[in-house]
Amino acid sequence: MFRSTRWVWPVLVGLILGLIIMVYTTSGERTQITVVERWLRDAVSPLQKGITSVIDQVTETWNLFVNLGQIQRENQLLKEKLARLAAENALLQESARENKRWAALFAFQQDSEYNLLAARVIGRAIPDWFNLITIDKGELAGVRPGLPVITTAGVVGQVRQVTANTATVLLAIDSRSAIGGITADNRDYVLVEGAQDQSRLLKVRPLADDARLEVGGQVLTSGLGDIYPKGLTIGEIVEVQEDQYGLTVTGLLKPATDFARLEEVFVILPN
Amino acid sequence: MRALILSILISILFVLQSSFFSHLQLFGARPDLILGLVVAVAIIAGPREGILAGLLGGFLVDLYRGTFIGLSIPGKVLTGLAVGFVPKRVYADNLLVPIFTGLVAVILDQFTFLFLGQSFGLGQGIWISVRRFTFFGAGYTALLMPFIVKLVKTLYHEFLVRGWYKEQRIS
Repeated sequence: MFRSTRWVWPVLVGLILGLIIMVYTTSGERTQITVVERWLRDAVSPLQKGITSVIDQVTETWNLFVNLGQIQRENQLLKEKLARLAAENALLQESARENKRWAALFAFQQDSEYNLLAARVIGRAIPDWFNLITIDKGELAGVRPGLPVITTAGVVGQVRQVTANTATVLLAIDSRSAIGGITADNRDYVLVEGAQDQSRLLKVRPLADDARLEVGGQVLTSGLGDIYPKGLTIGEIVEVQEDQYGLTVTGLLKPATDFARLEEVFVILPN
Repeated sequence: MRALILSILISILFVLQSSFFSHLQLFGARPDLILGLVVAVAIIAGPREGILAGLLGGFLVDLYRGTFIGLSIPGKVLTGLAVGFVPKRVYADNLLVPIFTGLVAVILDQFTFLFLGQSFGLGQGIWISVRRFTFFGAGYTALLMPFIVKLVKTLYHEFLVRGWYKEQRIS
């Protein structure tokens, strides 16, 4: 292999000595590096960066591919969880709203001069134009047919039938309903009758020929009919009509109670 | 020409080892592609090529590390020399031979490095990581040996077999 050995040994010894010196001088802490090292690292780093970047992309894609099934399962589970949480959240919000309403009702009940029994609306007659609701209080709670039903806003209607634990209430907007009323400003007695159509507006018919009805005027219960106590708000006159001879006037009244959104009501019990 | 081809090969494998195989570790260990190359070159082209490969490869690895520069050279040079002196007929085309040679070479190289390193104040703590690397790294390198041998053989044939290097022991 090596034709002449004369020069080999001095070169070999020189190389070994050089190597020892190089290792020794670079074995300690080095804060400075040589130009060759700097050049080497600068030359290698773009290649390393490129390969690492490609590897990362491939690894990411591979992991995505491998984990696709798991991701789908997790996605499904998360969707179910989200739906469950959304439902729970809706229930909680509803509970919070209900609590708020009950707190207001309770305050109203405490301040009222009447013996009020709070009840929850648990059903409505089908179809809607029957204008009947069912509440969750009945005979056992002292509810009797004919008792008035109100909300914090005003008159609701009158109890028609009762069972042990429920009662059916005929709403004031029903055509079969008639409430004795009085205009708040002029103190004219009127009869407030249920709506004859689906307008949900009540008809106001004055009892005296010289009664004056004014748009915007409030109508309260008169207390003359033995059913509703005096002073409960029925609603506000929104329209006044004269007959063709100008002799009588009638009005249309917008009920103070929102009949479309009845949830909690009070039954006025006899003292 | 030999040095150029070897330098290119060493550079490619060095970049692969320091980046690609950092992501493709086997039980936390990377293969020693540079030593694999030294073994492959020595198998294919004999001890002189093996020594040159060990010298260049060891120097590059040390230069990049930036500390104890030159410490990897003896182990790799001795590996190139030892493998290169084994008669060519032993290797034939048996795949198991480069695999086994690679396995032994990595272990010897690592222990040479550590043995010499301790003379220059290399810490004792390095033994723990070296033991692990030596075990798995040697196996990993051995597994890749057939590919490295094939690569070197192909390149040597392509670039040198028709030129002045013809008389050298190239399979």
